[in-house]
Amino acid sequence: MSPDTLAPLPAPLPADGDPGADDSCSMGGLFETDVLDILMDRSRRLRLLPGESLFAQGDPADRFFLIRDGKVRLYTLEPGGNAVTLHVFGPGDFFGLPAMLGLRHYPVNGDAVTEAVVDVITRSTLFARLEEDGGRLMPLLTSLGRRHRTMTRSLAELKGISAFRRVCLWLWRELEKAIPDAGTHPAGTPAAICLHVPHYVIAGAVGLTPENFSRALRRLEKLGIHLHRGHLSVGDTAVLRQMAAADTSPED
Amino acid sequence: MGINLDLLSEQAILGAALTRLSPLGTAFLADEGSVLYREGDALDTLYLVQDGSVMTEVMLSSGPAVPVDITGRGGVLGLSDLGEGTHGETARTLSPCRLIRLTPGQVHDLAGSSAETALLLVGLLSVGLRHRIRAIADQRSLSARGRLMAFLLSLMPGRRSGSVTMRLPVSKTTLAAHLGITPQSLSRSLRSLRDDGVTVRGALVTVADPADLRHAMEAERDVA
Repeated sequence: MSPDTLAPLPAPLPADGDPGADDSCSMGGLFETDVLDILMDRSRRLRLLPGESLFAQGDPADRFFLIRDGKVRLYTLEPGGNAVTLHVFGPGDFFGLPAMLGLRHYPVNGDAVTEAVVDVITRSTLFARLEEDGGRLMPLLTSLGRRHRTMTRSLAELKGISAFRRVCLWLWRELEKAIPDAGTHPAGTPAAICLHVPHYVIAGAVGLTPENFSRALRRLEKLGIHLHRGHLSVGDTAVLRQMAAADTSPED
Repeated sequence: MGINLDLLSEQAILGAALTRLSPLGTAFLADEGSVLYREGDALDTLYLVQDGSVMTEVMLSSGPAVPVDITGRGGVLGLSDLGEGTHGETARTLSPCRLIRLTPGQVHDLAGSSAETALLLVGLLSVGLRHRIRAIADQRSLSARGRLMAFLLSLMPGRRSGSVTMRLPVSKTTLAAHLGITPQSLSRSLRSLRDDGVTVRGALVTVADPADLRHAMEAERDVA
């Protein structure tokens, strides 16, 4: 879908697009209202269905995107056709700027994971704003810095933590988000939460193929931890906490 | 005033950073192995690398620090920490370095001074982000051997042909951690590269033909 074919920007979404409401995959909730205020009046809005493509690898990189609602993933396709998910963005995240600023073409693909509402800011809009007042884009620098820190940590985890432990860590973080005092549960305390995230997205977030992710889930089942259709049930939260904290090498 | 897109290539951004930022700060020399800052330290200084290379590493909840990147000439360390006010990683020099100290206030002032300097700073961070995205993709889609090839090729940017001998900028233990593998896997991977024209003697690595190595790495990517 090309943003150029869309109708002019409708009124901003109501506050139901609370960026903190569902950011299980947004890798940090990078919502910056200042950035929005600066760029919104010249952006266009897209509404995407799950699986709908925002851009494909090789498309001209002349715009970047700000997610108002939903989730979008960036991925590459291996020669065999397998998708390698690089990142999943959620409400408040923006993406595509590094490619727009330094590359002629997008180096990856971008698809909606869920229904999504995305604002599109073109290069000409950004440059016009910069020429008006470069200093007003300081929030953009701050947001990019936060993204950089988040990706640095993701990279370190990919290098330094075993695949199985990354799965445990991801699930544990989700559990802690939903049940903030889960870390103080006595041994034997069960818990159950809804994740609303497809398995392939979790697999991408932890850097595993769907097949290897399924293997990790089977291993977790033996520990009383079950993930089925977005429902996570944990027989003993202390076990998951322990697995997430275990000291294992990347090749375990 | 128009903004020239050609100024946004990686080399142009790093070159512009050296030209524009160097006069603002104070230069100093750092010995090999100097820790410029530690993860969690308050952000009171940013460092522009004029010469040499600096490794950044991150502590995980357990285990040793994990190397994440090597920053060379033109890179600015600490730029990603401006919003947080603390450093998100530890920076350690890998060689004697010539660095420029900048304060966060100077960088803020610079961002507001003109469109092109604001774009330069956003561009610098974008270079860092693209490196992260590439590294994450390589970590996921390349084998240990393929990642080693990619690392060796990153040490000789622009070289297309002709034998190249270089010194590894880090110990083999650190290199293994940087690649996300064990030291034993690194040794196996180094041995396996002999057929691709890579020979190792201590810290010296010779690549018979960088173009051949690049082809081998791309082939590795295709079968990963």
